[in-house]
Amino acid sequence: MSSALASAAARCAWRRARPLLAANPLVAGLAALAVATTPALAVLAGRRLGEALGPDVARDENIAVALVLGVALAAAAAGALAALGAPGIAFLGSQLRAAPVAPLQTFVCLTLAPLGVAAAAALLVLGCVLVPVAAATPGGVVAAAPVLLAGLAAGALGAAAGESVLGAARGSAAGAIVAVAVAGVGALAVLAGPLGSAATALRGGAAAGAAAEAGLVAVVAGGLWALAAVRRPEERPAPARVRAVVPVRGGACVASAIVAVKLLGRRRELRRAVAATGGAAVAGAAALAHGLGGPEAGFTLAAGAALLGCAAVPVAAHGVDREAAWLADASPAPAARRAAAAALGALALALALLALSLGAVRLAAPAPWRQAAALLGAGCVLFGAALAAGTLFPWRRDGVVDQLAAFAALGALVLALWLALGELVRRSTDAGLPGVAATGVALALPTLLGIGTSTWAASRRGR
Amino acid sequence: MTHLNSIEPLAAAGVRKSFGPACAVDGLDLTVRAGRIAGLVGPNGSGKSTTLRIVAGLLAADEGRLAVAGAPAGSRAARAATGYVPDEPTGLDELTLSEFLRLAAALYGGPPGFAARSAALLAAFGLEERVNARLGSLSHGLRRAAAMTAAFALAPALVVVDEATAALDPEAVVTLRRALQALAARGSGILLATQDLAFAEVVCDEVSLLSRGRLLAHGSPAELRGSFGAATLEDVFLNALGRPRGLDELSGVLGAR
Repeated sequence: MSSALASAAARCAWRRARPLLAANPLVAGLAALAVATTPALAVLAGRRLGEALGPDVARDENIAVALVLGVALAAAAAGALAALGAPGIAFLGSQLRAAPVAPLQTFVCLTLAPLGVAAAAALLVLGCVLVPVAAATPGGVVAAAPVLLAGLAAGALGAAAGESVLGAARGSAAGAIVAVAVAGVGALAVLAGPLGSAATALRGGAAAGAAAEAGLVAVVAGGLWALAAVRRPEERPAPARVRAVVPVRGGACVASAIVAVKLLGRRRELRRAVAATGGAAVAGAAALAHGLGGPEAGFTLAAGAALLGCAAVPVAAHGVDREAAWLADASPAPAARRAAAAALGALALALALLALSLGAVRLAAPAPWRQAAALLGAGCVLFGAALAAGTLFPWRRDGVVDQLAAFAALGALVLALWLALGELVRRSTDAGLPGVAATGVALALPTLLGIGTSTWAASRRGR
Repeated sequence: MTHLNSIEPLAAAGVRKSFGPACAVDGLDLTVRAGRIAGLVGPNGSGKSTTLRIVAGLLAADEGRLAVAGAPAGSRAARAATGYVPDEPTGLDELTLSEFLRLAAALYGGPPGFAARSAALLAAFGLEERVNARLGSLSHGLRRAAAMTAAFALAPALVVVDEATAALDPEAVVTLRRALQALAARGSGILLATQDLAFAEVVCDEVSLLSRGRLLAHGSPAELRGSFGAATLEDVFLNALGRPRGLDELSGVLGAR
């Protein structure tokens, strides 16, 4: 039964990707380019980061702690996002989900296997970044291992936290118990465990012991995740509400933007993603601000988790829009303009959610407003890339592989944009362009990329 | 309250299910005996699909007792004894029909005779030539026929069919009728929900009329016709539930220039 389940999941994922790649040589080319260049770009990014952080890590212990916690927080947010997005038995559809399948088999075949492959790929890229960073620290290259394993442990803890809180919210006692256990393991990991040891390893401490500690936490966290996942209660049906039909002023474009915001805002999986990562960001900011890295470092590092969660909104925008394509495509409104308006609506929603999250994070770790503004700017870059990634690999509620592909495309796009835009800003300011103007152009380009990709996809639909 | 007989394909007593303040199923008693075809009829929102989803183990009842072939509804044993056809089969769009059937057989433990029964059902539903077509490429009616093929080929103790005739063409409706009668003759209990009262009248041994989650009437089609003094099941339905509100105003509003 397990092999039948796993092979069905793999077949479905491959068959969804194959026509997409065959019909769009551009997407296929970009995917191949990303696979080929992401490790090299990651190494390049790691070298730059190492040049910037290496001496600071040697000088200040808090920088080493903040670096490890930054990786761990991002991994925890990614783990929570992935676990909450995993469809579990819903993958089997409305008929076969009634089949007598053991929950552990469902978890292993439909959640753990695809997420395990994705985690391996993510660890490879993270390793490409961390090895040059660690090489620039007193700990040397070997210090990358405990940081990587700390990231893996944090990812598994994030997944366990997401899954257990979801179960607890649906009334599962097992979910509540696992959530408490996850909180305990997380607190131990932060206060007296592998995170501190990994930071010490970056400053020349024992790397092997730190790696073993992190590996142990990863195994425990994996067990807690499985425990919560096999006891995941069914989602409660949304209550049906009759809403008044109100004409929208401003025509099809305004209506499309409003509908996009409403559809995205009402998706439970997106609400969960934003809430989970926002919560992780606030908790991380509090931990970092109180003695581990200082409020300003805490704000910036923790806000990364909130950024990732809010990016789920533009990543999902095209996939959600496609679900109502039968109505939109049958209407006389121009598809491209309608899609552009829907994409703008999604961007506005993501930025609004990010602003709210940053406000909450700032309460936990006070930081200057300019830092918040800089993160909103980073949000513009990230969300534009997220729109494009979600258009290339449309989001599906029941497709964990589709969601992972979209986030992988987002990672590759962000890495490429970060390097390209950094170069653009540097050359523009060298050529005498005011810094503000150069930054404005750099922020506008990803937004235009995202909206342009959505418009292009809408105009191609139905051909 | 009905006494639960654990050897029946389905025995349910006092089943209640609410979604927030809305009560979808309100104290329903229901028994499906081996070899019998039981129909649930009622207007949209009367609790038919919710009842079937509870029986199939997809929803948990808030109150009441349900046993499928002697096992508590929702347990693995109960699921293994149930073949479920949803009103809208979705998911697994990328699998071919033959792959889907193989997966269904694997998930249900490879029941003996599955291959022969599914081949016969594919032929009867006119799906033989589409075994290599992807589920997502099938029309709604063919997709439902594919779902029925998978559920019926399991030959389980209890067959549960939601919106039995929805989207099926007349030939498929005939096939469905024959298949259900054959499964009942084999000893399966059949529980179906339908809006097609003519179909229910012909196929069902007993019919339960639901409204707002409650059982309004129960009996064989002949008994129901007799007790409501009606010529057809459709008349029973209208006599029991009354005419839809707003029907008289509809022509005026839609016809206004």
